[in-house]
Amino acid sequence: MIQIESVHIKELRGIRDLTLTMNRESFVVSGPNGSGKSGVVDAIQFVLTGEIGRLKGSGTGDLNLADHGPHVEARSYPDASSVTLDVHIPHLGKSASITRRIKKPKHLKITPNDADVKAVFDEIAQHSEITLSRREIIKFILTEASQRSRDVQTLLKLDDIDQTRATLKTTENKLNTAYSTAKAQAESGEDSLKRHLDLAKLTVEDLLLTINKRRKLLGLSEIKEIAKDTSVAEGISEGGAKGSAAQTKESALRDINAVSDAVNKGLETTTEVAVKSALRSILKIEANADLLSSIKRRSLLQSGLDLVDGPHCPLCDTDWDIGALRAHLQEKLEKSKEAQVVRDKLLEAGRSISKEVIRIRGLIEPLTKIAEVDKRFVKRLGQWSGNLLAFSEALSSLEGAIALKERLESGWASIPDTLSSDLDLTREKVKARPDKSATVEAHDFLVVAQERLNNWRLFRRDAETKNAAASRGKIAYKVYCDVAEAALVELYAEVEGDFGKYYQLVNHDDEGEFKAKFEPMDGKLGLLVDFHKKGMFPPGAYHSEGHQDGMGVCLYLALMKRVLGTNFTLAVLDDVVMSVDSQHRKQFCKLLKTYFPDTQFVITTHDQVWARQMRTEGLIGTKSAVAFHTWTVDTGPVIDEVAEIWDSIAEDLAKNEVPTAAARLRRHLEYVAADLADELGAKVSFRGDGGYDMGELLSAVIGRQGELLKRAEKAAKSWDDAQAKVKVEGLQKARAKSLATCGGEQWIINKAVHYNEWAELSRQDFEPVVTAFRQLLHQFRCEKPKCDSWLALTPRFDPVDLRCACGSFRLNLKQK
Amino acid sequence: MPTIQENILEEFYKKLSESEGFNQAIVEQLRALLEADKKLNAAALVTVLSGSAEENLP
Repeated sequence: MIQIESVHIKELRGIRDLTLTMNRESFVVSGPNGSGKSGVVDAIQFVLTGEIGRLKGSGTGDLNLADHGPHVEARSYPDASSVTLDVHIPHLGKSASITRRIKKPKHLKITPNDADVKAVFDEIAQHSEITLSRREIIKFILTEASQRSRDVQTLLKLDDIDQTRATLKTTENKLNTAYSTAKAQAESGEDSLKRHLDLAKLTVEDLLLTINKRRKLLGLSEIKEIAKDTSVAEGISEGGAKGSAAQTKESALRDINAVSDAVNKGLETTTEVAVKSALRSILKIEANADLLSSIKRRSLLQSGLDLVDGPHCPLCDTDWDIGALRAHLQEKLEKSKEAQVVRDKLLEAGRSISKEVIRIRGLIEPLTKIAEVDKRFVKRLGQWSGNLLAFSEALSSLEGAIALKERLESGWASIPDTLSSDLDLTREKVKARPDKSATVEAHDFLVVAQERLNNWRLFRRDAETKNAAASRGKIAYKVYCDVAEAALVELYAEVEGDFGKYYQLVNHDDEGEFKAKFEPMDGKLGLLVDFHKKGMFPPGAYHSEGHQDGMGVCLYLALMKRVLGTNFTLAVLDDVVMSVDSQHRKQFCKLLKTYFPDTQFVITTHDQVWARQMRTEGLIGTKSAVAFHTWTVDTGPVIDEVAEIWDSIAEDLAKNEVPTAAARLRRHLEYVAADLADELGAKVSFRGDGGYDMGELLSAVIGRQGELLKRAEKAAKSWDDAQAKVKVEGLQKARAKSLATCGGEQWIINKAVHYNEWAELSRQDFEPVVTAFRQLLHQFRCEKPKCDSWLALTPRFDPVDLRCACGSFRLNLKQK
Repeated sequence: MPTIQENILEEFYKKLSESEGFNQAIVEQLRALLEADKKLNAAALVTVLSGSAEENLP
């Protein structure tokens, strides 16, 4: 997306006024703790995203951007607190400048304000992960599988997948519940029809037989089949008794007896298991006050999660990091899983009981239409039915269900006290009803049959519709899960491959065959890593902190490659890989240079050796570094530009500060000698304490250089490679000249061993020493400014090449 | 370049179109819901999956 040309920081965090020129190249900011280097990270993050990560998230308490973003002396003048970034946008081939002020963090001044340029910065604002600290890196490694899944999905901008999956699951559950209710309603309607027809089982044959028997009495045509719109009362004369008045004596008695039988059997018998389950859940909740608040909080969190659907809070319009907030709420939801189980069991039991309520209300309703049921009984039946409905509705909510504890314990059906006597009285009245003629009976029978058939059809159709909907809900959820899982498995396989490849490169010496395995399942993302071929283990099981740091960075880089692809042109790494040892840091530089040659890394570190190593490994150009050596409130960081070592020595000598120049050269050689001995495989006597003498190392390096050039010469001859022969000859001549200029190898070595003598030399005497070492070391380094790395044997063991990191310098060592 | 989520949704619509009980009308209504700017809502999905589906069934 972008690369930074320069950054201008004013009155922000620990910085008063600072300009860093990065020239679109990787850049290192070094300095001891408290020197203000993290202010640079904060500034870049702020100008790109309008936020400072350090001032938000868990543990930041009362910190906020407006009050704590400006420099402590500029708290009252937030307008003075600003960051300007001059950038280049590679894919647009454009340069742009952006400025953001603490006073108006949402407002970004962009020059030029072209739509395509603006779109780039809008996109970057969504990628706060461009700026990364060690704490954030390690979270991908040392975390629970469910949290890792969320963190990785947040980084990959995949949070919507989980959200969509969860909403489809909720939808499936809602559709299932609706179908379950409709099914119970249809069953109740069927029972009502069967009672009226006096059929134990509702078959088309029996229905036709029963109906046609009455139709024949009325002289109506026989119905031969039952279609979905067939009327069993078709042709019946208008004006006959309808509805309640039409109910036949036998049918009315069956309706009355159905209620009596159900009451006698015990209305709650079929719900005993569900009631026990509900009571168990309620008792659990009562015994643990935290559980209820956890359940309530869970509802609140779930509602909150549903509301997190934009960049601002819908209540106060405050900006929020939607990914971080969702992850935070998800984490809390995860912790209240036990509460969720209890809640789900209680509501499930409630749904079972509600189905029985539907059946009972289906028994009550026909009674109200019997002519002999007096108004007071109708009223009592209505109250009972209404009471059951309210009971059923209360069971659908947690609070409602908990409040029903006593009723569930004592008998939830709440049968009216007078029911039995009311039923007996009504039964007697119906029995005493004078018999009607067969034709009137047939007429009334058909009218009620049609009415109940209609109701059943309606209920059944509704149930069928809801069944189809529930089936679609189930399919939609399953298909989405399958498709998402397939996509994620593919994605993780890619990331897994890159992650392993990067880690192998960093740890080529001891874990060159490292493997990693992601295990995505049910919203979790397990991670297992190989430990020295002893098996696959969680990353925190056996690997050291340094190795875990390395894993974190490798995984981050693999993820970023997948997220941004060729747009991964900038990453700001704040004190990462701090516990990775020196040898692995060298490889880490190689990793960045090899696999991310087009990415600009802005790296902060408190480790000066690490900063220098990045330069010597060619990750950072000679001019692409700054060191903060002290910091005060008034000045902010005090800068020591990390210029080229030879420039610094020249400056010392120009000021006639020979001891300073000598110390600088000595430190440089100490580091370089060990490094070159390692890269070239120079032979030195082993020392258990690792305290190698610099002179011994340099001597071995120079000797090894001679050996390697001879090997290259032989190889060139064996291949009859004229070009290589010329190149090797040129290098051998340069080496001889350099050594001759210095008065021979022994001269250099002696001086190096007895470096303390240098401090006593005059400027005129010391300058040739500097020149000699400069020329000598020049022969071990790639001349390309972009590369600037030391030459090294490749592969490390059983080498075939002597080459630099970029490959522009390469000598074949293998003979034909 | 389409995002992973966009790719998943396209495959989701394709597979749903081939699934029993789904026709183009339902799939398009789902597409409109899932690709709308506002937050996905279960109640709206319930409506789409149960609404006029019967008439639209093949």
